[in-house]
Amino acid sequence: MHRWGMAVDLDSCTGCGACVTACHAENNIPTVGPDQAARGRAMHWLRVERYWEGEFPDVRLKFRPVMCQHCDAAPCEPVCPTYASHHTEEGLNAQIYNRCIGTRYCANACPYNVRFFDFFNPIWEKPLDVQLNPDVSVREVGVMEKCTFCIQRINAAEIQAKADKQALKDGDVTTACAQACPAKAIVFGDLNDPASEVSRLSRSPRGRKLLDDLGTLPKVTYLERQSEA
Amino acid sequence: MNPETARRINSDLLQPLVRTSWRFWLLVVLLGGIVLLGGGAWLYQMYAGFGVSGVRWPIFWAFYVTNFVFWIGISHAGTLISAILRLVNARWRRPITRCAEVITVFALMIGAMFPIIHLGRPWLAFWLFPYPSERRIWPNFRSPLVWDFFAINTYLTGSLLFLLLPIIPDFALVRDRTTGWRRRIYGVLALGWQGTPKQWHRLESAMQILAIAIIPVAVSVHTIVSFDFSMAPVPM
Repeated sequence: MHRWGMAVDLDSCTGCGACVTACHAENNIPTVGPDQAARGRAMHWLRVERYWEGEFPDVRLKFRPVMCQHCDAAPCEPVCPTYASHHTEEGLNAQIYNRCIGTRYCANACPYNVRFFDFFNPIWEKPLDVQLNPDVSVREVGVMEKCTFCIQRINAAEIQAKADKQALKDGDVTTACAQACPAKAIVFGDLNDPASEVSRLSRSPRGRKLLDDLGTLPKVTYLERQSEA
Repeated sequence: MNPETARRINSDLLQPLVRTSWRFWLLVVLLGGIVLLGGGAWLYQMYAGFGVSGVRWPIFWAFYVTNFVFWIGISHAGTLISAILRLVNARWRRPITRCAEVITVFALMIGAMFPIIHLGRPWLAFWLFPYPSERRIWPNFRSPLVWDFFAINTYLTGSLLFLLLPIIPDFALVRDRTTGWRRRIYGVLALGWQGTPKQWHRLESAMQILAIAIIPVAVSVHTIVSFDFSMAPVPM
């Protein structure tokens, strides 16, 4: 049994936003346009948060890519009346769009604000409409959506491994954001495999979980910044 | 009070039932228009997308849930107070009891409407209800929203009974003093009330039982509505 997790090295992250773009392209996330974005309805399953420190001119900028933390004790799961927010056997915090009736309770319960609601039916302006990923369902108006750890890639790799009668190796599955990251700041893998890259990084003394004191047990580990640059 | 006065009071009280002035119809048109406006707004919200409600990230509960809680709060003021006053035999409660109980029933009906309007896909609202569906999946009983459904329905049923039981003698009164279709309708509603001492005794016993039973139900519904907000780690 796998237990998928992620590690993000904030020392390597340059805040370029390639992960955000890759996530949009992989997961058929609609672009809502400038009007709705100004109303705070932009949907970024993965966003790069910026933190400014110090006074001008001596300012430092810190980046932190924030996606669904896939908590082991996820606050979004017990509150969903229809089991749309559902914990899979592999520890993923799955969102089952067909079951969602849009109570939006999960998004209210989520302390990381990584759940996004389809306020309108999705539209893709040309030429974005011809690059939809056939492996990912398109969400209709009134449902909640969020980062899935690219579950379509996980499933495809597991099916392929089963067909090849081989076990999944570390690196066989990677998420769109980890694949796109030019600095290799995002690492995805199996936390149950102690030899995997993500397990090694998660054990780092620099490792921190977001809002750790809430007891949500996130599976995303952030390696905090050491450099002063 | 002599019988002549009593009869006049009764006929005065029943006047609005038999005679309808133009002011009443004006009020019906006015308030009905507001209801139609609200229904139209809801249809527009479903047609155009939930975004027209003005709700946005990251606070996904807004106006509708506020309204829901407001109306549930209003419902607090009726049946519960009426039941407590009935149990302590406060005589001054009599003129206001029915008003309070009607407020509870209608406030609950309005309140229960808002969680449905609040849904992103309200046409699937029945998925919140526990019934053996073809999906083979029950609602998540850990979710306070499912308990809202139970609590509100229990309170609504209890409040309806609490309102309708003591109204039976009054239905019988109307039945006896009207003719035609009104007599038939109120005859059915009066459930064969004759006003015998035995019937009065049974009605009083039933009301005592209901008055005691409704108090924990009222406490539970307001507690469960509070669970909605206490279950989430994010303060609301």
